[in-house]
Amino acid sequence: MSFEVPVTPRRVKVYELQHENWHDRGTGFCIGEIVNEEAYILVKSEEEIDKFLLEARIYKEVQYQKQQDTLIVWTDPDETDLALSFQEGEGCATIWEFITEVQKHLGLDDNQSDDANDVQNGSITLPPEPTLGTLPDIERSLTLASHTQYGRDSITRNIQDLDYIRKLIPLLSMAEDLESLPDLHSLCRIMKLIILMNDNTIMEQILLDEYIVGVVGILEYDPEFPTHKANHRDYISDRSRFKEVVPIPDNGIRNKIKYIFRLQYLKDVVLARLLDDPTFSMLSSMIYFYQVDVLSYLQHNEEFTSELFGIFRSTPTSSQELESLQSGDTDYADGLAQHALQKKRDAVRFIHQFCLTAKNLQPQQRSLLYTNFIKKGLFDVIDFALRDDIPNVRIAGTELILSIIDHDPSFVRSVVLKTANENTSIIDTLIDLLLSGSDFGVTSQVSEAIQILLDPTSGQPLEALRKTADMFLRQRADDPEIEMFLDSFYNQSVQRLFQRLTDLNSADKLRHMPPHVATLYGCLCDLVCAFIRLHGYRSRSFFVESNVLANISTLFGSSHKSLRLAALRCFRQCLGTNDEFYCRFLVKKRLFAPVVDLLEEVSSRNNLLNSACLEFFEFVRTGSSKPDYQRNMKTIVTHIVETYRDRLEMLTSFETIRSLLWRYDQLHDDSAPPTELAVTDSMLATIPSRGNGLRDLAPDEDEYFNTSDDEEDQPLEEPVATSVAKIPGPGDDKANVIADASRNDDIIIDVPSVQTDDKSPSSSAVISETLGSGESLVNRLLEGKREAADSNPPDLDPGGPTPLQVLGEKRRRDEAKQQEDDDELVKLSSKKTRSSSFVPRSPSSGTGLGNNAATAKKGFLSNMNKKISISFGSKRFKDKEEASK
Amino acid sequence: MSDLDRAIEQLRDCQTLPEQEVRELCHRAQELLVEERNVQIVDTPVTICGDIHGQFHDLITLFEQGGECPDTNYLFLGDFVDRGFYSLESFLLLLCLKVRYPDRITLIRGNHESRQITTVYGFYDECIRKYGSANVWRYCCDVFDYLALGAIVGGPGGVFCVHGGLSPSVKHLDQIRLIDRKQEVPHEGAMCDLLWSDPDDIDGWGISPRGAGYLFGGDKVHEFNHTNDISLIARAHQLVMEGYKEMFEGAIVTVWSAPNYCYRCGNVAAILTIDEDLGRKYRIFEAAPQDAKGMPAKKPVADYFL
Repeated sequence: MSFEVPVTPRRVKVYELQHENWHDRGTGFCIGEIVNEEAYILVKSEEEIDKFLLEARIYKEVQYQKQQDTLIVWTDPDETDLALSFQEGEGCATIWEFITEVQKHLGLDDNQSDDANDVQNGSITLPPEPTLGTLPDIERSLTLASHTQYGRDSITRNIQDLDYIRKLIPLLSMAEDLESLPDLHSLCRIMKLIILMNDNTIMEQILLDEYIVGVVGILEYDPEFPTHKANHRDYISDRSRFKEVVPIPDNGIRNKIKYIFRLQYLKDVVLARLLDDPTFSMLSSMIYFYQVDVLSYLQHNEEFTSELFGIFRSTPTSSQELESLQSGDTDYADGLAQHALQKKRDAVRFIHQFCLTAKNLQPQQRSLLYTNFIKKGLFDVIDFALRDDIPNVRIAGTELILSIIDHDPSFVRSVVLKTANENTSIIDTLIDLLLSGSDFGVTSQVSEAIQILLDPTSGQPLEALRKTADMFLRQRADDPEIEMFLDSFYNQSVQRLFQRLTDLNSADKLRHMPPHVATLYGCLCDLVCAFIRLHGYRSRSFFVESNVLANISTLFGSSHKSLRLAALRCFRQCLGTNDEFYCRFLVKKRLFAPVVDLLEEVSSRNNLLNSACLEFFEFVRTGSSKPDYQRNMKTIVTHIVETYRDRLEMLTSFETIRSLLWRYDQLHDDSAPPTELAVTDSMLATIPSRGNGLRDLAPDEDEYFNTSDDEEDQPLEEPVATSVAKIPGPGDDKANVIADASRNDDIIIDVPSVQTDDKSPSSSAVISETLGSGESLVNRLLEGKREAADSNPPDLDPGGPTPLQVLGEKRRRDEAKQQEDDDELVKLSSKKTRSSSFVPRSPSSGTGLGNNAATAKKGFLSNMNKKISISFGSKRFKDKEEASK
Repeated sequence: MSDLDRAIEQLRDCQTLPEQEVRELCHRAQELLVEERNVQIVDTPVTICGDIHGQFHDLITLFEQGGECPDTNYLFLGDFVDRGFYSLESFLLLLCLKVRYPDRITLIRGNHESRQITTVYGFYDECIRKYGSANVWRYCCDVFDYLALGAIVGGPGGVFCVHGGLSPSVKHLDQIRLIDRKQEVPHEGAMCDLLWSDPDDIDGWGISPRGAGYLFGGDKVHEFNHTNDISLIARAHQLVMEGYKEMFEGAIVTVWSAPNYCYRCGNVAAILTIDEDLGRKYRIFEAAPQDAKGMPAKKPVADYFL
């Protein structure tokens, strides 16, 4: 035999299927070997020298499967199911190559020409001229070829060489004429098989004008839905769907736009159900690359963008138009105006779509695009859109502005500052829009936009991600721009934004408040909460002096329960800041009265309002024994009990209220026994920490976090165990991955560098990859952290704090893509599509909740790349939580 | 025929409602849900259903198998949306039924009933595709914030129903009452754990690979059941190929009601009926037969510029 034998030992884990469970035979090193013209895969144990975990001869009859880059799975002739799970993709690739080479070689040596042989030596060919009669042969060849990578490669070459798809298309109309359903179904299966070959060139071909209609036509006759015929052809050939606001000069680009549309249709509609993971990602990446081409072409085409944005500066220019206007042809002029308006609306929709699509681009590209568009007059477009009569144009306008704010709030802020002297700023436009509040969707969207724009933790450009978490925490409102922006907001606009709340001095307005007004007040309350949390002294002095807070107490009288809840949240937010000033204010103005009123009112009902009230008092009660909150909460306990004692004593059916009264007595009686805190301390030890590493990361920011922390839902202070639980990557020798033989859905990983708290009994992290709903928050968090951790040392960035929350929104999308890769479900099902024997599909031994060990390991290894650190996440979490309160 | 009945008919045919109607429906639902407890009290007999995940046609099958609402009393354990192609229709149908028959159907919140998760796993995109804007998604998310976090079926010795599982911060059911649930699902704390945790063959508590919630062992389940005088925890949240799976000597069960999950997992689905004597009856069903109606596909965009 004349090919390379892999002699470099590759670290691998050997699994054997026993009673539908994958049993771990052990970990060792894998090499290939040829003895007496027979090829073997050998795995030497890493623990006992001279022990072989596996000696498997390579047979040409055996179907080997490679999965997910690190797995090779097969069934030995003695019916044993075996799997090799490699530590690295490279090792797996080498051994895989060896196997395929050996199989090819064996095939050539052999004179038989059975099917398996055909697969191996690539002699599967398609009948050169397909006919209805040869459909079964074609189907058979394609099915056979699809089993191995080698077969797939050779058959796709064959399909291209013969221009096979073009030859198949005429068979569709033949079969339709003959009304031969079996042929139509066969054709459809053939086309599916061809598409699932997952070949770029074939896919590109399918998209061409002369192919697409035929191809989707064939796919209309899905044998799995025999009674149903789709009408893909009508849909795809309906050219009216493609709209051009400004003619696109380049034919290539126009075609690409068509291809994107076709690809999306294929992905979402025609093939939605049968796409496996590789084909799905091929389609997605094709769409992505076409989009990049189209967007960057259009964006850089000076003529095109000028004309596009010129629409919004349309004064009649052509001489004919001018003449008709001068001659007083009013009908014509009206028509023109109408036409111009329609054109502007279409242009808004176009730009809206453009920016939505641009969300898929890399951040840098997006920045370029927005900068360019803003130079051309994007804000004029938004301005036009927001004032339009048609709701969905207004919504498009709001979404446009949101998409820019979402992308880079600091950028928008600097634009606002620069244009501060011009007529109206964006923030004022937004406020107008919010207060006009006729449209529910717009109201909450705009309120969200205002919040992001004014969030000093938002708007570090994405580079901030690459700073360490350290920096995230240290930098706070040092950015002069955000300071100026907030100054200008609190000087000029805040009054107007909260006018409705400052005017709210009587209960009259509350009666018969229509729902959309209630929604607006709800949004305003949410903004109050956010500003209390984000703007420290600025918002504090405004809310207090303007009476906003005091007026919010009238909202407790609203008939809209959502509004009463919103008002309660504002007060609760004040307490959450642990700001002595707010606490004294609430006491002084007796603003706890409406809360007590509310609790009394709902005391007989166990509903959301009741729970929210109890949570409020529970926070006060537990806060009074927490070191950080003690000082303020003790004052409040004293105030509440002394002022409302009689009423509270009627409410002692609630344990919270009982405890509150008891707490008061305790605070004012030195001989009282110590609190019940000891109990929770002992409970702590058994709860693994998620790593509340904030303090580790930025000890000097203790004060800041203490003031914004809300831990009342968690009566236990989590042990501060790990700040950064570094889990070694796959290449790390310390990554001593040992599968627990007794369980098949868990892997116990020895994590040497995890520091555990003394109180915590567990010294190793138990990681279980369960199929579940597939998603893992950890992955997404870790992803964020990885970027942060991999990056520059701190102290490089003088900018403000991080866009943790906005990031949320933005990253949710970016990470969604990442998620696809990590998605256990996708892995599982893609295996299934490839007809693997590796997954025990209907396990009898209760493995339903988990999947198999090898998959778990793979999943975990990929997680390990991400260097677990949860602390970053918990900061984000806290912010989120704060935000939502 | 009332508007609501018409809307139910329309949704049963897998037709979406106009935006305006969705808004009104969501508003009415909020008014109703705000009156519910964090842990709802539900009478037996009741049929408990796990994750639906937008598999509308399978939801219809579920009702065929378990009996139509209001004839059968239902309790859904959350995760109505995401993944499947008909999250909107599925959720709106359940919501309509809730508003129409408030005492015959209970909806509790799953970890997918959250803004953050739905933007990633499909519901957000589906709303954009079907309405051209995110408004309907916003309305639905506002309803999510009002959904109960759990339920107790059958009084003392009964069944505690929750989407995910237990929380180290919740020893007594009463503690759940002290949560202000009207918020986005937080990333830690009791509310988060209830929606995210999973049972596991461990002792005590473990770190969840999902990054939120905890793993909890049999000891914790027995302890919780004993403390709170319940005989069973019914939860969903994890795919079970057989549709349901009891663990820890039957002290906890996972119920999964999305057959052939994501149209390709090949699993069966189950619903669990708890009768007057707290007896458990499981009913297994398979994915909706693949007829034209059941043909899953996303709706394409209508017009396009790009």
